[in-house]
Amino acid sequence: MVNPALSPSQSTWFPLTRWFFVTLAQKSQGMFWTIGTAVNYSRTLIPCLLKGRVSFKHLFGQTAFIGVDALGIALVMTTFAGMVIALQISKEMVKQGAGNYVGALVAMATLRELAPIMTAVAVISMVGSAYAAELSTMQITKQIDAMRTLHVSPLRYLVLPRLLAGIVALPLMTVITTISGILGGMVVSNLLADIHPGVYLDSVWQQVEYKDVFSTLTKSVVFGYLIVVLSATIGLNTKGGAKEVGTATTQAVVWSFLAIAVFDYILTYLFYGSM
Amino acid sequence: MSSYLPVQHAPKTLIHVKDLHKSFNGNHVLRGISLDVHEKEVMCIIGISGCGKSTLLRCISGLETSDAGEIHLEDDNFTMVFQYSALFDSLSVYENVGFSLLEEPDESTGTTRRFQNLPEAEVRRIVEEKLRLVGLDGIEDKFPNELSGGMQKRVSFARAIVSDPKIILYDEPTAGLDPIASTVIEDYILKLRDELEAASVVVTHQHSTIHRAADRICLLHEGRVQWIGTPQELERTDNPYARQFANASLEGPLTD
Repeated sequence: MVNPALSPSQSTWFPLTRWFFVTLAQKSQGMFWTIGTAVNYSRTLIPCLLKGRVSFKHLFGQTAFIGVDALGIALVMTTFAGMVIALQISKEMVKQGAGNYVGALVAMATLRELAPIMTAVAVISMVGSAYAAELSTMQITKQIDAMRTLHVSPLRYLVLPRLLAGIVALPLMTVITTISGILGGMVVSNLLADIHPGVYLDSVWQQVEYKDVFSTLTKSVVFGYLIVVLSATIGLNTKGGAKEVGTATTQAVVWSFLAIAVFDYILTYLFYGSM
Repeated sequence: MSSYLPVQHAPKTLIHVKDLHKSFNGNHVLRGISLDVHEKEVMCIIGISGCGKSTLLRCISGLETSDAGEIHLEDDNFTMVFQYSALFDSLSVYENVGFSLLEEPDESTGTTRRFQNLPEAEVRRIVEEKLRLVGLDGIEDKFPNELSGGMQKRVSFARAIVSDPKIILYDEPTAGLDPIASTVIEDYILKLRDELEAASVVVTHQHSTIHRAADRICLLHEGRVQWIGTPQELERTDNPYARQFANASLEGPLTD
């Protein structure tokens, strides 16, 4: 006879492992569902974008909203990031006799990675979360349903102007934050390692190629797209009440961070991986 | 033999629902609903909470897709009034009511708009006319959060009827309103029925709404139609479901 105390359902580990796998299955199901829905939305949104079928009435306000809300934070973050890099490398490089290349290194790091990522992070935390909260509140108060029964598409009316604003505002902001990051590095390297701004900027100018600018702008367009589409997908499919609005907001932020990390790698590989 | 009797036109059926089924995650909510609603008729859907009333309404409006069965709307000019008004809170009353006139229609739903590309002045005229119809005047520039619950409900009526719909769906229109505000809303349901010759479906719990506004009543229980009849017939019927609901009795087949 089998000792009932040893049967799997009675052991301490069985509920734990079961919980682990059930939770994993549920989470990944939610993940695939969200990705599928986001792709599905894109099939409506991208043709509308390409055909220019956007109501321009809302576009200016949305772009200004992103710019005003997130640009300040993005500027501070990128400037300090540029300053930190200069702080880390300038003394060492001067010691090694490579002081002339500090500008090149700071520019490369800032332009290729720091500026697009920091700008995206600022936009996610200020704008993506706000979009998710707004759209999920509209969803649970039935405003989205009401819009559908009035024969207006929530995707076209609510998401499309935000999406266009996102893919216009992010590259513009990234250009500004890149410049401020490089200038931050210039100030620090001048103060700490006595590198002349002329030398610094000359080395920046030697290093930066069109390809770098192009890859950065592509990245920021893709990031803008991902942030808005993911926040909108999560917001528009919220069910429940006030607690779920909070969850949706958090989820939109986490998902956008993850998506940006993954797509940053993919895009970097596509641009620089074959070198 | 030729007849000289006046011809009695049968009322046109505007909403035709046949053997409708709907499940959510294995929970079978609608189990074969069949229902016809005619023009100039208010059909009240009643039943205890969770019997599938709201799901039926959402299926008719196209907000949910049904699993099996048939829904045929004779006129694609339909609209829905929501339980908590569902006004767009970032838009003014004027923009709310005129929403479907001001914004581009979604052509993917295949809906044709009665009004399209109207000049601003014309939209304003229609919005003011519809607001007057529900007894509101001079509140066009206010925002929804500046209005009382009853006023919000009336604005949502005005928004729903802005394109003169032939089919109006109401989801608990009098829930949460005081008796006088409820009576006002019930009168508007009847007024809209007569002025627009619309077919109306009203999901409700409220006794006063059933008795004042309904032309026919449909009692749902466990996802099936248990009884259909007029409010007068509700008083006399010996259908056990209808009896229990009419008497609000605890004894009977209606259980949670």
